[in-house]
Amino acid sequence: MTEFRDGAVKALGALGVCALAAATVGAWFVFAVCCWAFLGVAFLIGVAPASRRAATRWVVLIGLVHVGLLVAMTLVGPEERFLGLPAGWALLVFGIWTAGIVPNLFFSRIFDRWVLTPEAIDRVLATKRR
Amino acid sequence: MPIVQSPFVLWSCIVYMAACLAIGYWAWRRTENSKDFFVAGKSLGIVVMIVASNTSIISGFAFIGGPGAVYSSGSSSMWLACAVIGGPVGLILVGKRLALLAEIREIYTLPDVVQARYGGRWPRAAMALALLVGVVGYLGTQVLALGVAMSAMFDINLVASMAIGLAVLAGYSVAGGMLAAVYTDLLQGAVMLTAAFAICFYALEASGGLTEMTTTLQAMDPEYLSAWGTMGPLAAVSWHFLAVLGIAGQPHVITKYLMLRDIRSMRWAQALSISTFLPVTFIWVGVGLAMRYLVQTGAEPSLASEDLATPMFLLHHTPPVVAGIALAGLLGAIMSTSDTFLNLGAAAAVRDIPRAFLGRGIERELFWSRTATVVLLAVSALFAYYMGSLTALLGTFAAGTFAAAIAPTMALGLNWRRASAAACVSSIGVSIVLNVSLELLARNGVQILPQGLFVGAFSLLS
Repeated sequence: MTEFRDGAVKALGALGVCALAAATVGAWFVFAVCCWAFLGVAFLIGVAPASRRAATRWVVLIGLVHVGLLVAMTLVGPEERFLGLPAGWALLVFGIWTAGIVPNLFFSRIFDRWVLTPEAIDRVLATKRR
Repeated sequence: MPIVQSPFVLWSCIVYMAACLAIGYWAWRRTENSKDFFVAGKSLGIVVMIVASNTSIISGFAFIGGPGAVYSSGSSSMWLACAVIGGPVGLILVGKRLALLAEIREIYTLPDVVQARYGGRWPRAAMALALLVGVVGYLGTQVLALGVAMSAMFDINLVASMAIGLAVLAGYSVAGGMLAAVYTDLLQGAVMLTAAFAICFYALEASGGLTEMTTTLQAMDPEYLSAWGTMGPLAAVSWHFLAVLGIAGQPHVITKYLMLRDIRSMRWAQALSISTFLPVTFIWVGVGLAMRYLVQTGAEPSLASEDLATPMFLLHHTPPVVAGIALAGLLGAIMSTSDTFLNLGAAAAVRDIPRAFLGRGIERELFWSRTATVVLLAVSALFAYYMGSLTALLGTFAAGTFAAAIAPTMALGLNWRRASAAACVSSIGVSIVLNVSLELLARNGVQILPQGLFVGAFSLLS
């Protein structure tokens, strides 16, 4: 567990430097990818160790969805329309916004495995009783 | 801002303020010690905690600043509203750890947490000072906003309107501490949510529906409703990043996890959070776009300031009943942020700084906490009145400071054993220095960061 977190903290440092360098030279796409990778790694640091592998798969999937949306946003012209709305705006509302809402809705389902296992809660409550 | 003439609007605001004072009296009867004053007796259920936490973070921004930003920059500001994924990230990284720590130790404040994690006096002192500096900035901005809103709505001068607003705020915050703050936040949240659905309906009605509105706005300026808006991709993404990760460093949000009665109820936190946050983002986006459409089509004159988007819309395009509830909601949004910050500031001044420097708490902590609340309010009011531009600077600085100073200290410190006290102190120190110096330089015309990159995002990544 400690080894993973040591590595994750180093990765955060590297991603932070990359993001700042990308922003400095105006490479906003690289900046965005580094920021989302930073968020993904930070999230995994907090996930319960036993579920980290499964969580990693979901983080990578959500990250790929975000990058895919970003690519689509760069490809559509400012005057194009999609679903009757300006295409870039529609991708932001139906893509980025929705991709952020979904994990909130499923949070209660992953709570026992990713956030606080029943065993961890029992341990804390036992400590409190003592 | 236009003057309110409808008696319904006037009475909505009066009834709302009377309700806040009544809650303050109720909470005062139940506040017997520092635990009650600072962490509401650690008695909050998950619904109260989430609504209070969302209400305090939404603040005047969602009602005034957010719609104004959408009005002026289009999609750019919406990247901030799209940062809803920050909730689960913040809870897993910080909220969970704080709730567990509060379950087994006597912890009332974030500096308490830092001391429990790192030991020694300096991490506690650094955190308390960061909180105090940020709180004065944030509070000053909110106090000024309260005064300006009331002054314009009721056509009374700024000093009188600030005095009335502050008297109500002081009345319930001093008497009932955090217990009064969270239950008035609950009332304010209910008012805001009621207003949100109605405003969203009238925004769509006034602009002829989503398709008509977006077609007109796209024809006006294709960049306005592009993916990034008029501020460009770097600004949009850095805003988004700061909002997603920065939530883990907002003290008025994460401190609420110390007050939770049952840690198992955190399971429902995000479903509740999203259902209270989303309707408010509809105001944010809906009113901003609707006002831009109305100005563009000539139905409204150009706005003297983008901050007028919401008040003008409410007074010209909604019935007095809706405008009354919404304007009471606006006062509620400002006051709900202020009351939590007052409590955080009082805790830093009375509990944390003496413990850090004297090594022990002071006697009669509850009395001094109430006194400190009054003093903080007075200091913030003076700042707001005499140094309006400075408080605006401090307000911007405060949000960035909280994100950059508190998020890494909490997120890494509570999850990574090798984080040290020295790293905690230097992280807080560096973030404050970076925020202050870069903000001051930027406001004096010295642009060091790339165009569009926000100071807070830079400090957080640094």
